[in-house]
Amino acid sequence: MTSWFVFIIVGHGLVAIALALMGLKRRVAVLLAAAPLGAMFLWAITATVTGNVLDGGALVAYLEWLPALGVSLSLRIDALSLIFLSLIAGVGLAIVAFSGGYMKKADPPGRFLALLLLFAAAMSGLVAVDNVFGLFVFWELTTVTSFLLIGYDDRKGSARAAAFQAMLTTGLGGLALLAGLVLLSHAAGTTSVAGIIAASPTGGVVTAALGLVLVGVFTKSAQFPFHFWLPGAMAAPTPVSAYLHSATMVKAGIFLLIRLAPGFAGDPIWVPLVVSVGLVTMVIGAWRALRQTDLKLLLAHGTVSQLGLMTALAGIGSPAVLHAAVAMVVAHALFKSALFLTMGTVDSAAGTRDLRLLSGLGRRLPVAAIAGGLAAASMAGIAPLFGFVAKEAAFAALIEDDRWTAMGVIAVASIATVGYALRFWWGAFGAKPLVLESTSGEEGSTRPTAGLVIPPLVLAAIGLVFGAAPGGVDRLVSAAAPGGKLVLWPGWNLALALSGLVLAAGLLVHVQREFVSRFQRSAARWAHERVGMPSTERGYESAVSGLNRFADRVTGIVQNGSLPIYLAIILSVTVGVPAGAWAISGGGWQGSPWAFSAAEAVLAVFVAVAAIAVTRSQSRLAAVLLLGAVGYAVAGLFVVYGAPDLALTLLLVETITVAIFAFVLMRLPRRFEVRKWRIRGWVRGTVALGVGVFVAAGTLIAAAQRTARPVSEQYADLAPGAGGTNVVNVILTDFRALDTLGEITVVGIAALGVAALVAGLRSPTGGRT
Amino acid sequence: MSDLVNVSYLAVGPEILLTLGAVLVLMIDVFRQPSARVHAWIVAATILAATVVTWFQWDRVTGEGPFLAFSDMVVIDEYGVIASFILLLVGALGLAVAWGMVERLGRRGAEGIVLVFMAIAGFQFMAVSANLVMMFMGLEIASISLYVLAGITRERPEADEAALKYFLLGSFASAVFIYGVALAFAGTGGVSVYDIGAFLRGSVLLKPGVLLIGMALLITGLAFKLSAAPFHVWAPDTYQGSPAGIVGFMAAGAKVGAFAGLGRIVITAFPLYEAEWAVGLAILATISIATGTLLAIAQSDIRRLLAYSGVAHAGFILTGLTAGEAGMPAVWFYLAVYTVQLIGAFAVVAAVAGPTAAGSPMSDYEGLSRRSPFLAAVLALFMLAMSGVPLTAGFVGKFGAFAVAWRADFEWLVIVALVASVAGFFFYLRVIVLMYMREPAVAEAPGTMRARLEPVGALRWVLIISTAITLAFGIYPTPLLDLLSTALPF
Repeated sequence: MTSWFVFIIVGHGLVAIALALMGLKRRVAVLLAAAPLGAMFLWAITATVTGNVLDGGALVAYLEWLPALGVSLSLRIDALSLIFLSLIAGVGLAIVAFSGGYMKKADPPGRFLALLLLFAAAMSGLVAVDNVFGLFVFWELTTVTSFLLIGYDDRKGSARAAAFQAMLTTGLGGLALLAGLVLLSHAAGTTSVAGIIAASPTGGVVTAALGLVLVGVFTKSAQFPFHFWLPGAMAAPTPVSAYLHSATMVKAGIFLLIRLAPGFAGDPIWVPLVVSVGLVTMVIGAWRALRQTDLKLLLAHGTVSQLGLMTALAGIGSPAVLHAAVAMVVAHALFKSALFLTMGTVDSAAGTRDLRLLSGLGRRLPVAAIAGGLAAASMAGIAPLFGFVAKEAAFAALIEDDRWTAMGVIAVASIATVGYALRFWWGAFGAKPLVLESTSGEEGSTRPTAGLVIPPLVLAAIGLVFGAAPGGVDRLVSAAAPGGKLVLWPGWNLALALSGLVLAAGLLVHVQREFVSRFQRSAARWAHERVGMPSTERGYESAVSGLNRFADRVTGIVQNGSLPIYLAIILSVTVGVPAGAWAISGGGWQGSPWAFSAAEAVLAVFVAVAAIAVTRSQSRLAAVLLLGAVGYAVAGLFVVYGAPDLALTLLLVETITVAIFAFVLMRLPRRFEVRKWRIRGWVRGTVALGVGVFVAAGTLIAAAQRTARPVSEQYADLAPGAGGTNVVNVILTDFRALDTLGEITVVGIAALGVAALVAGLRSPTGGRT
Repeated sequence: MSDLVNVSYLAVGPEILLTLGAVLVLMIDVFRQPSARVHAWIVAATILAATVVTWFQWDRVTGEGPFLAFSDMVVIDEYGVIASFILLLVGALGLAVAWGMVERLGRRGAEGIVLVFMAIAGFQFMAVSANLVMMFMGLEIASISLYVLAGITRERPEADEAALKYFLLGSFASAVFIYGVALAFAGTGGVSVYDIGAFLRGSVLLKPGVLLIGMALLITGLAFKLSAAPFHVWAPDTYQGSPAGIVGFMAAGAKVGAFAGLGRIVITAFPLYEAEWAVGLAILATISIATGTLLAIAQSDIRRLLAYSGVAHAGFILTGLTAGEAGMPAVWFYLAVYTVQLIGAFAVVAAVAGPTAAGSPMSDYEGLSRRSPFLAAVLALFMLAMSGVPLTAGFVGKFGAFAVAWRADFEWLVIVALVASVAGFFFYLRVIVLMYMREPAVAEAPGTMRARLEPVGALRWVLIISTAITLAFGIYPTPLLDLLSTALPF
């Protein structure tokens, strides 16, 4: 069974490649893209019916991926996974069908459908995988593919910015998630997600790890304070928004919350953090949704709000509430995708989605109006739709658990939900007396094609079927989160009364919409002027630009192209680090005894004076001669120490060097240019002095530490046997001949370099053809 | 040290062949100006022959175990042979990318081939040397080749500046390294990594100060070649100023050679001071990761961006090296796949800028997906791989390096590296956004600049091969990981 799953996932990828490369006709491309999604849908149904999943079991498979690193792709598909898999595949089918009609102007549809399939595959992998690293891999794959989908319309600046923002936010969150998961698996001693939940470790590290995981979840599911990316992502083509913000992408966070809740709801950070973030998000989203005039943005903020609800429910984490949360996931996927697609139909029929300009479309688009009406009613929680069933279950569970604060906030936000559900339907289809009846956006296309109206209708109708007969869905939902029962008619109880109240209040909000919007406007003005409400989106922007500025400034300081500064950095670190290492290792001076002869003293002073004079010299020739003098004086030191061979060699080398320099000097100006240094003299002096002291001290210490017999004595003893009397020569040509060979090679290469230089000097444009 | 000279031509076979190839190219050049085709045959034959001999080395090493040669100056073991293989691959890919430059430079193009051969040989010597002096020779052979390569076109002053800066700063690094050799010798009485290791095992140093300084200097000298911060200052200027065709090889080869030397030194010579050098490397890694990531964000030239990204990657690889011997498979996997990505990315740079150009402003990449879907897709893949996105080899490499460091109790370093990976995502993504989501800048002067752009010839094959490697080892890295983990413990 699981091998079929892997096969279908691979099929997603293969079909995507074929779609991207082959440039198929629209109809063929849509059918081809539907094939793997359909297969996945059928597979999910079959797996539900045939296996023991409904009894709480799971399909398990184990695939080695990186055994050397302990990473495997183990699959564990239980009821929760199957719910998500059927949503991903089922809603995906509707989206593919819809985009066949919608993406008229899109150049070949292949690339778009290919991306959609890749995204679906990543999402399916995400809900099926059991290994923390696999989970992260798929999590990031959904981020990358969603980035490409959101930015699909790449000629639109807003789409690009939105895609970047979504990617950055969720990508950042993904890495926090990875860090959290790694810590969790460390604490639990297993990399299996199911194993971690079963072990449910506790402790300070676990709390910190959960905090990181939750950051990942919140970014993905657009929770406060990361909620800003989702409305921005509305720049995406409508089918993408419908898919990403109903059944997939944003649901990944909710999925993980529901997964982890049974194991970690007891952690001190879980309930307060998740519930409060969820409730705040729900309220913010609802408030903003009521203010929108763009239907798509209305739905986007509504999505933020609904996600907040699901987050809060998963945060409470008791069995009954979790059960309701899972039901809510299903309901939301169905009605939100239908709403987005309906909005797309309206947009393409009328050429606008501004509800102030739309009027009387209900008569021209009756099927779309019915689909939109059903979906909006489901969102508002009107019987007998599945949204009602799920919301009732949530209310009942909250009341049963005595979660009155959460209940209160959710009820108030639900009033707004009813309000914006009505606002959506009225905005899209209602006849507004003061607005001109909307005309067709494109000439000649009076009726939308079937591809545009059927998919949302099917999705909305499923919501109706599930609502009218919730028993079948309930078996799967209960298998995923046992603890409640979904029923259409719960009987007269407090939850039902509350629902009625919410509906009535919501209706009032809609009827009094002028008043509500005036109130919202003045509240917003007050918040802006008096409180100076910080916006998290502005926070994001200033963080991004701040990072850019900071990086710029640092670059300007440390990487300004000045060689002296580079050298100063390298030399100070080179001296500083060993000096530090020396200090850490206990310091201590074990240098040679400070004894020297008069001849040494004179020569040493001469070397020092000449070296300083080199740096002060204005004339190139003088500097070269002084350098030579340093060399000769060092050779003199060798003589004093009784190494005439070495002294002779050095003298020869110095002489040749000075001669070569003299040749070079003929081509150069006689004096150094006077120029301004980027770093002050005393800094340069300090660095130079530091290096000198360091090298001198190192040499003294090293000489004093010598314990073995010097290799030079051995060489001197062996030299006659090798047929020579000059030890240096024998070393060069015999004892270390391989080194000499290497040196000759080095010199040869250097000669090539010189040759290249000279050739270039002769013809400055040499080689240019 | 054994008294036998134990000559083994097998031990230095690849280097000999490369040198012969170089000499052949030079000799032919003396007598007549050969066509590029002749050069191509020589290059192919040389690389192939060197690879075959390296394969014989592998055969012998896996069959009979490692062996020493030339008065124990050279050691042929799995470690060295793997490094040699990678260097040959890097060299072959690098020369293919540079082929446009070689052809265009005419006679001096032949010198380019020679220098690349010598650089490969030098880096291989670093990898197989059992002796610090020998390693220094390898380092110098390779370094000087690279200095000259940096300035080989002499078309623009930037190239001269790049070469000169590289040379001056590099000479300091070499001096630091040789001073480190001297101090290590002073502390232990040996210049062979085995002698040093044996000496340290056999005696207790009460005051290891000189030795530790020597070790630190050896690491510093190599850190320069790795372009690990704060010894990276040369890299951005050099990458930017050098001819586009050769930068990839310069960057990749130096990383492999320097890591080969570094690994050999710390693990064979100083295993007893693992606590000290691991912390040192961890600090170096932290600075590199932070500097490279932060500064890459501000770059407006893609080569500088790749240079800083290379600084960060040096840090990531050092992160793996903190685990010492246990980290070797991860480090070499990372090196193998990263160098391929690096050459691939620079191949795109060469295709966009032209083989001898200096500088590659980001604006050249605006709307590249329209001018050349192939180049854009390939570069996007390399950017994703470098940022460590799953299903690319870059992810596996990073994962491995972080995992071994974690096991070696460098949790804090792994967290730093993870945070930097997030930030790094930001600048890699920027390149992709530029290529896919901007219109190509309008051609002010209607010319060839904004025309369609397709890589041709050898360059195209480099792109295909490096893409294949990046994807293949991203999806199924197990064979390579298995190979490395059985081969690499010393």
